[in-house]
Amino acid sequence: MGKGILIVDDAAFMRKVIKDILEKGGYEVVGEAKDGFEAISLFKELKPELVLLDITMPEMDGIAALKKIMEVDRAAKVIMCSALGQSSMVIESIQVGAKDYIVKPFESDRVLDSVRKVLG
Amino acid sequence: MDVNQYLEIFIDEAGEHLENLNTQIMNLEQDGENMDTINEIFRAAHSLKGMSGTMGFKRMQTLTHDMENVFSEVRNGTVKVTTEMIDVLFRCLDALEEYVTNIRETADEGDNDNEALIKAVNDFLANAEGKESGENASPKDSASAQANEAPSEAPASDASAGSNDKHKWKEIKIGNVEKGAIEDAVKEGLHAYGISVYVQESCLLKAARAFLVFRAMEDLGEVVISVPSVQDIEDERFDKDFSVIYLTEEPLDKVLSAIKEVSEIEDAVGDKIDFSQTADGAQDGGEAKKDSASEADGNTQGNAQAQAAEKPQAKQPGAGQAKKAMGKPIVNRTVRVDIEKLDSLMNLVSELIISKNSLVSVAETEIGQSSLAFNEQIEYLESVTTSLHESVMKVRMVPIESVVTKFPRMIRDLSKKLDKKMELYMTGEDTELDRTVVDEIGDPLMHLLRNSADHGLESAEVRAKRGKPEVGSIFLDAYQDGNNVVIEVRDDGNGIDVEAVKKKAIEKGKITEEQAEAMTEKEAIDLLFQPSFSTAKQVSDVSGRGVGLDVVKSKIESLSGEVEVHTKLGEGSTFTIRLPLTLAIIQTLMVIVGGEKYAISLGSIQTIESIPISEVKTVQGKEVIYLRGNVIPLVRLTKELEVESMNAPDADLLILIAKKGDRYAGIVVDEMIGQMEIVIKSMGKYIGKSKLISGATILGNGEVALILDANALI
Repeated sequence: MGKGILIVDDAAFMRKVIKDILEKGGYEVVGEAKDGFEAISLFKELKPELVLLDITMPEMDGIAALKKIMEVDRAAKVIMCSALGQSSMVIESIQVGAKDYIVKPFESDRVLDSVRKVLG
Repeated sequence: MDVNQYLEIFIDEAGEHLENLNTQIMNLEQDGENMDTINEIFRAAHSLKGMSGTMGFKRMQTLTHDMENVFSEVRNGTVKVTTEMIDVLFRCLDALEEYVTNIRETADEGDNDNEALIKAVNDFLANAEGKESGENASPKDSASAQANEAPSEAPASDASAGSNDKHKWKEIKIGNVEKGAIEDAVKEGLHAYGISVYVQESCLLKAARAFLVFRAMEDLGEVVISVPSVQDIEDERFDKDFSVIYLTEEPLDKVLSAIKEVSEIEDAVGDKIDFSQTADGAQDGGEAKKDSASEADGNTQGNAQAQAAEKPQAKQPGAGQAKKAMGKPIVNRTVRVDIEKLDSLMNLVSELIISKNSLVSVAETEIGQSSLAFNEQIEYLESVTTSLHESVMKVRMVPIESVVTKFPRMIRDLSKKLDKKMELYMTGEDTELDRTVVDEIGDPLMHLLRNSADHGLESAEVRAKRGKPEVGSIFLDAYQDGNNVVIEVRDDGNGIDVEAVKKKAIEKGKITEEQAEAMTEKEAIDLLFQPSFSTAKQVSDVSGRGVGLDVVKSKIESLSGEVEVHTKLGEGSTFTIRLPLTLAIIQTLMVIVGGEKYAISLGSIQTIESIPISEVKTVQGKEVIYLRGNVIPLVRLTKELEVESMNAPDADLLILIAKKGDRYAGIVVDEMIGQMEIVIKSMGKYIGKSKLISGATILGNGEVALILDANALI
């Protein structure tokens, strides 16, 4: 397992918000991906210690990407980024292997708390 | 969190989503069952919701949330797309656009709650629920239940009523079957605990949080009974706590701390089960209640597993769609650049061109002529600056798509408002123009389209009488033509009634009847472009308030473009807008008039002729020449600019034949220098507006030359 965090979200706006939160919390963001395909290839390339993965994305959504990521590395640590009304998808992703989830709109403390807990 | 730093990117991206929504909703109207479109709308609404929530724009968040809910139902097939829904969606889009506009201007979304709209959106959901009410609870309901924010339905709240003890697990009714199982387990050396878990008040998506707790617990032991049931918890039908009866080998502390490790868990309390006590509690509750509780709870474990197995299957169609979408082309990689940075880059390129021009003029003197290498380098520099200029130009170019995508929607609205059937056909949306021009071109085009829809197209009855198809057609075609971009707005309507225009002009006192008699068709049509002129018999909501064509014309002219009209009564009209590709650097012909240098845009010059003075004829007191079958009026620049010609009066005339639309003029100059790429500099405010002069430029030797607008001379 490498170092740093990979952010996956189709909205550049969200990526920037998350990145700033993480960097202010002292974490290193090693990559950003805007859809599931990019996420998988960057995951293989960067081997991040944590992935923040958005659920709703074009091309390949977060859950499909999560499944692929779990295939690549059973021990991958993934936090899902979801929004209200996505309970069943969050539950599905936890069943697939996501470690935790955070809910938009993001609050800095909550994001960092989750990251800290998942990274142990 | 300080969100202001994200405003710019928020506005940009929100704009893209809105545009996308607009296009997709249009598509949806054509094909209400297209899954790609529905997914795309869902996603756009979803992204907007997340973004606006993060920025703290609550109203925008609420509206997008509700839109998303509707589309989630549409995706599930419980709600059908209807015309009313499309109307409401468009109104939502308008409301969102208004929010974004407010945000752009004031960094705040404003205080319009759009309650009526939100109600309209939720009505679609309510209808869907009404239809489903007879059916059993399905996972779909969780979304709608949550949207309605009706936690009162949650069974947990019943249980919690009247109890302020945190150890709510004691209220769990344990049936005989479970009791036996628990007793057996205890005999085997397991511990039985009653545990109550509290989720933080502020926690969103409690169900998933609870799910994480269950997973943590199941790593260490087994949940025998859960209240509310696992199904209810997954469907988020619980308040903020739930209780379980739990079997494990682990000590209670370890279990509780594992639960508390899950984020957003307020507290978890538990005790070792003392059977005599809970059993008594169970007896207190009526028999019937106990039975139902035990039956339901006894099934939970099985349910949870069955669900786990079912879920991935249920999601299969979704995965299939994701795969289908893979075939789409990947979006171009882009970088967002502040337009100011581009402007300054453009300025630097301009400076470079000026400096190159001055090197060229040095090269022409004796210093340069002695060295061949010097000349070679200058030529090289020239080609480099030209390509640099082109590249920077291209960076500034954006497709007019961003402007025209809103038009189909507009025509659709107009069609309803005017009660005429019409269809808009667009081509060349990918035609590119300078960003500043694209930003300005939207309003004039909108005016022209409205004009076509309102004045141009006839009502369905008239069309039928004339043997035209019932649905009127409006065309918007854009294409590049040399150094210009042409945008045509065409309709197959009535065309312009020249006589009606003349009559109106006489009524308004703009022209006399004699003038009207003498007017050509073209001159009459030009009347339309005069301020406060409208031929509409009725002032309608859409156009005809007399602000329109004159505004269109002045806007286009301020962009150095021109508008032309072609019309045939009964067959339709075409408005043609011609815009220069760039406003900053142009190819010109340098000429001398009265000893001064002037630049004339090469684009407007067709040919250059040398004509003996004897061939100049006079028609109606005006000088003309007869050239290749055309009679061309002459414009003597010396006269226009009020300077003395340097040439002898009987010398041959040097004439630049300029064309504007289908009219020609021969511009008489004293002398020609040659072609030159120049940088247009504004004249500033001091000189004011001169029709003839469109700007100035700095020549290689530092001299200033004025730029003549050939169009103004014709």
